[in-house]
Amino acid sequence: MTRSACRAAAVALSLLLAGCGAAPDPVRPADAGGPVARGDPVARGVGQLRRLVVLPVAYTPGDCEWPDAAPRLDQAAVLFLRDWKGYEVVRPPRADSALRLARDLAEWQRTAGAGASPPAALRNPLTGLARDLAGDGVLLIRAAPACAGTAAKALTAIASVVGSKDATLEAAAFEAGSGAPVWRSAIRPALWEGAQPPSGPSAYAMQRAIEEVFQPMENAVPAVLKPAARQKEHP
Amino acid sequence: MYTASGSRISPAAALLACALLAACGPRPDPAAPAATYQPREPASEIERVPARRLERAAELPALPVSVVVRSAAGPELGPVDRSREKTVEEKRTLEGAGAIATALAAAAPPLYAGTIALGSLLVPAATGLELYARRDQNTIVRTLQEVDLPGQLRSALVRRAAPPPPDTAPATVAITIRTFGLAPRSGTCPTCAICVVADAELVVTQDGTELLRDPLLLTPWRRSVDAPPPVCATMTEFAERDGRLLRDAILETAQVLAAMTVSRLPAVAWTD
Repeated sequence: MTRSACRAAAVALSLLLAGCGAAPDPVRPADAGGPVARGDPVARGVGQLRRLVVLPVAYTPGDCEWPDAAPRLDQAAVLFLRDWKGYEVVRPPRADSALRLARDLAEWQRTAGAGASPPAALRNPLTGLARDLAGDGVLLIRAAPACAGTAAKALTAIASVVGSKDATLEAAAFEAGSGAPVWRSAIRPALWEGAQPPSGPSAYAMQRAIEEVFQPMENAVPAVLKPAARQKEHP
Repeated sequence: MYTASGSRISPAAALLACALLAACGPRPDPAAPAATYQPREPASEIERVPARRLERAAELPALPVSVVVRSAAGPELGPVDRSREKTVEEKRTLEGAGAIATALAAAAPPLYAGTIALGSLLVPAATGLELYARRDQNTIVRTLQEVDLPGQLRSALVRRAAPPPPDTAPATVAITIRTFGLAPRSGTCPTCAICVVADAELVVTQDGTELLRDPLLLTPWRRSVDAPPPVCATMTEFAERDGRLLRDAILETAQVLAAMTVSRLPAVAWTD
């Protein structure tokens, strides 16, 4: 093979790798404008949404046999958001309809561009749910672990090394009033490779993945700086 | 001469390209049944320390106060939350880190000079990652020295304290910052999260009588009930944009300590 042919092949391979399900850039929290809460010295984006309605985890098992992945992810997310990020977590009362909404949102988000707002068919139930639960925002978690064979796993590892962002765990926050996305994070947890569920006494791989996906999320505005800012009538 | 025709590309390259395409992975089937579960509230691992309040009888006027803020020491980098040092291994790690930090301090005084006590956060510098971590550490040390937490706290409280009427001896609200700085959330590694922490004591006295003594705790695993989680990030994240995140976190800590103080002292005359 000539050098030019080698170059062409290399370019083609690079394009293939770069095109492997590249996720859109995360939505940046608002960085401009002054603080909202009194005494809060930090200009916040998603952190202004103190009270988050957390939808059930939209889990797509694919080839993976991880029977309890969704509840473990859910537990880890609620714990991390509450204890380490300062958000007040509320749950939809009807888990079945909330799960349907989560799955529809996740499916839409998979193909939506960065910063795109959900269509009315998704936005209306989303904002309605937030309104009913007096939430400042709605949080979606999508998990679609890839459990492939050994050869494909190796190639996936190569793809991850060269920067492909074929995310298997995503989280997104939507503002309650408008349904607009205000924050998004997408990762491919390194420990999520294999046909068996990540195991261990503390479900370390699940917890670690959740911490990794939520670590970039700013802390919620402290309650002590925002006392009763969004007191609403509960249904 | 070879040409770049398909027949000239080796089978191995073609196979690799096909495999890469396959590795992009089949998109998950959206119609696949989703796992259902009953959401539960996970138990917290954080120790919550109760907070006391200084109440005022309805018939009494609000208490005018003067504000004093003291700092027991300079900012610290290290494990201030001793409650997490549960195992012998952990203690050994932390002690080892301290020893390493001491050695580094002797070797590189410009970086480690000043009032900053060193702890396990300097482990990365001792494990062959000096070049990677040194610039971040410099930014962090400088930011900790530049942002005056006691001064910010005092300003916030003085702003909110109503001026005492003439001929009145005000009570004293004194806050002593016992510990302030950065501490690891759990483990110590170059990419592990470290948190902005503060441990202070609030004392209210009037005419030599102590009316209230209460801790204000903002540490990773032991916090006052009215304290938010500490701001945690990696060393690199704290150092980015000339230490902006760290600067914001320290300013927020000052405002939070002030707000906790005000909310615990309803007997005091505040401006709002």
